[in-house]
Amino acid sequence: MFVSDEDLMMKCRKGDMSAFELLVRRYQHPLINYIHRSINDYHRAEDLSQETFLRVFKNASRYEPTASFKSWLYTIATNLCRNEVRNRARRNTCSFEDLVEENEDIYHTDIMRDTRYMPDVILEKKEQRQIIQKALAQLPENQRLALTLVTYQDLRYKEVADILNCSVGAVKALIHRARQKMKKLLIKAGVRGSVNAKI
Amino acid sequence: MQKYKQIEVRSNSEIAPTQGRGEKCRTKFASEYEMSAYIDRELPAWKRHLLRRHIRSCPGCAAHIAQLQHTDKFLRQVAPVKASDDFLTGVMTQVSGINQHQRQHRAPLHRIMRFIEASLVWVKRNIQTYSPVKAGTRQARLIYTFSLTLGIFTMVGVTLYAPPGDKTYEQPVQSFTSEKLISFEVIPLEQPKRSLKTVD
Repeated sequence: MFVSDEDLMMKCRKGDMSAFELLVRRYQHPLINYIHRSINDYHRAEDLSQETFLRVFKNASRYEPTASFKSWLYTIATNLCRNEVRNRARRNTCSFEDLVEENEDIYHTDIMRDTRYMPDVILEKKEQRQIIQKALAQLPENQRLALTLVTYQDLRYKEVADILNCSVGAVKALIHRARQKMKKLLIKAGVRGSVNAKI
Repeated sequence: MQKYKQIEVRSNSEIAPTQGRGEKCRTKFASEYEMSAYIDRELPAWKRHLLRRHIRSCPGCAAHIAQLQHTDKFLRQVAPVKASDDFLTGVMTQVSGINQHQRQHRAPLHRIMRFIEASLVWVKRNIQTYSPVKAGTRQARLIYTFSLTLGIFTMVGVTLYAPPGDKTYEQPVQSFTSEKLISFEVIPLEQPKRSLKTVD
């Protein structure tokens, strides 16, 4: 039997720890993925995901079932990401992954495990990931967040609008501009063949 | 300036698709934002249907949508990162710490102890600042008793009052067992035994 996130959150409000654990199990990977794409630092992404879940638990009594839990969770995560980016800019620091690009262990992906005996595939995947991460990092904040939410989290435009606190029309514009800019950045990085249409 | 223009022209030609290059939609059937929404399936069904029909006859729009789709496809090729194995344990440990702290602060015994402590401090402070024994008048004693009683009632109210939302923590913990992880075990199939036969 599938229990909705909202029902689980209501149980969590009543102090049910197992319901909260189930919510963490459901969203731990997508949330870390989202934060990682937004701030480009895996270890910091784990910290921020943990902080997001703690905030959810602390503010469980304020949660109303009228709002979607997913939107609420991603709104908290988005605010934390924005703070992180702002603080990083203020301190003028760079992410850990910019320094340790060679370290593969920080990526706990199945693909990496499966292709460990194929160095060419690993290298290709690694280069591709680095190019995309660098291109994403060059996007303006709102465009990056909107594109990450739509592309990697498969959220609807309405949900993204709720999370970013803007209209659906603005989300459409953000997504389109982000894609156009990504296309240019990827071509600049040398992935023209993959990005250009082959009609 | 001329050099800049040359670079611009070259980069545009690189970005443009192999077919439908330079062709623009004359009808301007849909805006660029709508084309992006089209590939995300965010357009209403009727508009999606009309746009699909338009794309078949307009190479410019078809090329534009193909470009957007390829960019999106390329971005989706990146493998997602996963949480480390001890992430869940870490979150649940921290959450149980918070929960225990909240419960401790809302426990009746803890509240009573805090109330007694607060009232003792309040009484001691008042006796030091204004002593009715020193004043000696009946009116002063009455004022002192009244203010003391009022103060105690206020402290009782403040200490024992809990917001409606916070009362939920006092309810008994319900066990939730509707969803559980299923563990799989892979059992390798036994290979058929081969027997050597002698050929006559």
